[in-house]
Amino acid sequence: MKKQYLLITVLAILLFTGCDKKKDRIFEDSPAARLNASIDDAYSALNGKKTWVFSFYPGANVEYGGFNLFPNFTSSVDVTLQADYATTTQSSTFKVYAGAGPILTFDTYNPVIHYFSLPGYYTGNSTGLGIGASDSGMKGEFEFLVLSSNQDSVMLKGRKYGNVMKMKSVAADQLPTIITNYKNANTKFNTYRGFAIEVNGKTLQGVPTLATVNGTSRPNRSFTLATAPSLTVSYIVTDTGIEFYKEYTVEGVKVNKLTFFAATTQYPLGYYANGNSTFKMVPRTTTTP
Amino acid sequence: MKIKYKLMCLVLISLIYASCKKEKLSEESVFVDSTLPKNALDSYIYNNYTIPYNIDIIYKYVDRESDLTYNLVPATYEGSIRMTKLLLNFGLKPYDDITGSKAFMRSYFPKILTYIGTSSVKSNGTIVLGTAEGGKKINLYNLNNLAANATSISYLNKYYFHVIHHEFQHILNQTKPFPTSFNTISGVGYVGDVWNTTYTTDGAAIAAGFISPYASKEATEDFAELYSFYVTLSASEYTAYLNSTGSTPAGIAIINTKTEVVKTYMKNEFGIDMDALRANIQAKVAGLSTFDQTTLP
Repeated sequence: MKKQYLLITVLAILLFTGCDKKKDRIFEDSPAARLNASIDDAYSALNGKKTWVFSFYPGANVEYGGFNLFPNFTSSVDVTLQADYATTTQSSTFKVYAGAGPILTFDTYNPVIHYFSLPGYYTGNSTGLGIGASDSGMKGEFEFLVLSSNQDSVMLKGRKYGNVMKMKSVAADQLPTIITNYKNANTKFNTYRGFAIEVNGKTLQGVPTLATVNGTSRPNRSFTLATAPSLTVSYIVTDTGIEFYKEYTVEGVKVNKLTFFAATTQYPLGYYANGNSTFKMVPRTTTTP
Repeated sequence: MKIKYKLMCLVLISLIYASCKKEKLSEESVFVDSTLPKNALDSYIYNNYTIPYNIDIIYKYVDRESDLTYNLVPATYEGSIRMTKLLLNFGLKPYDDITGSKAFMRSYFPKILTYIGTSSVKSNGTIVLGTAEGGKKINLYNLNNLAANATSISYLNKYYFHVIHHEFQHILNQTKPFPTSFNTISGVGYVGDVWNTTYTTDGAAIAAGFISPYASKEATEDFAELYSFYVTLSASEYTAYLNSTGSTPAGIAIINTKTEVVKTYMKNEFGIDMDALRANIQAKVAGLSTFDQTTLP
C-alpha cells in the first residue's frame, strides 16, 4: 500500500516536471535577429559618418597611454587610416561580424593600427628602439567588441585586453584641419619630459617613461603619481588638451579632461587645467623640477 | 482498491505524455550569409582555387582560424595577391602537370589556407615558419615581408614552398602510411623536441643522416623534410646542400637511402615521379623573375 502511494506521488511529480518549460522571451526578436540588427547599426554608424577620431589605447594596462587614429570608413569594406604619430594615409579593409556581440575588425594589414600589434621582434626591440616584449610588443588590438554605436560616437572594447576606447565622429570636410591640430598638439607634447601636478594645494610629480614609436622618441601618455596609494594615470593628447583614459580621483579631485592654456610668465610652457582650475598639469622639458 | 490504483496510474501516465509539447523551431537561420561585396582577389580565389580545387583561402584575418597562442597581425592585401598567384603557379600547377589533372590536388591538398602578416614569435625570440592542422589547413606566415623578397626563390622556398610541400607530404602519409621500414633507418637517432639544440647547423644534421635539424625530430618530420628538400631544390642545389660544411659521406649515404624510400612511396602510392616533379618545378622557377605576381584579371 505504501509503495502505491509512493508511486502515485512520483507520477504526480513527473506530471509537473513534464510541463512545457518554454520561457517567454524578454525581447521580442530572437537573439540572432538582434545581433544582426546591432551589426547593421554599427555599419550604418561607421559608414554614415565615415570620418572619426579614434582614441586608441594599446597595452594590457594602457601603459603607453593613447594614440589618436583617424579612420575613414569609405565603403562597407574599405577604410583609410591616419594617426597623430604617422605621416602617411594607409588603406585596408574592415568588417563588422557576429561574435559575442558585433565585432569590428581591421582584417587586412594597415601599418597605422597594426603597428601596435606587431611583436617587438618586428618593431626593433632587439636594437633597443622598439617597444614591448619580442613576442607581444605593445599589445595593441585590432578586433573590438562594439559596445554601443550611433552617429556621434562608437564605444569599443578590445577583445584581448579589454581596454575601452571611444571613436567620435567628425565632419569629413574638417578632418584635415583636425588632424593637423592633433598632430601639432602631440608634437609639442613630445618635447615634454616631466609634469608638476598642482592639485588641492599639493604639488605632485609626473614623470613618464620614454618610448620610441615608429622611430620617434616620445613620452608615454602615462605616469605614476606618489599619492597614497600610488596612482597610475593614462591619457591621450587631443587638439584642445588632455583626455584621461577614465575618470581618476587625485587628492580628492575628480578629473577626466584638461584644457590647454597658453604660456604665461608663471607657466612659460603653458599648462593643462580642468574646468575650475582645481587640477593643473604643468609641463617641463626636464624630468626633474 | 487495486483497480482504482491502476486506473489512477494509467491516467497519470497518459497525462505525462500529453503534457509534453514541442516548440516549433524558427525557420530563420541564426547564420546569415555575408552580403559584403567581392573584390578582385575574392573573385580570383573563387575562380582559381574554390571551383577547381575546392580550396578556400582566408586572407583576411579571422581570429579563430589563426593561432591564438601568438600575437599575430593580418596579411597585407598586396601580399595576399602575391601569395595566391605564386602558390597556384609554383605549388599546385606542378602536381597538375605531373598527374595530368586537377583531381589529385582536389582530393588531397588541404582545404583551407590562411594568410598571416607576421611570423609567430615565441617568447624566446625564435619564429615558426608554418603550421598545418590535421590535413585540413595550412597557415602561411610572414606575408608582409613577401613583397621585398618576391623574386628570391631561396626566400620563397624557405618560407612558403618548403612549408607547403612539407605539410602536404604529412597529409599524403596520413592518407596512405609510408613503409614502417623507414622508421628503422635512423631508428633511435630521432631526438624529439631537442632537435634545435642537438643539431645547430645543417651540416651537423646531414652528418648524422638527417636532411635538416628539424628532420631529426621524428620519423614523420624526417619523411616530410626529405620530400620537401628534394622537390624544391634543383639537382645541383640539392647536391650542394648535402655537401654543406660539416656534412659527411656517411651521413649523405643514409639520407640517400631514406630518399629512395620516399621516392618509391610517392611512385607506388600516388604515381608521382619525384624527379619529374622536381624538373617541372625548376622549369617554372626559371620564369620567376618575370612572373606577374600582382595583377589580377
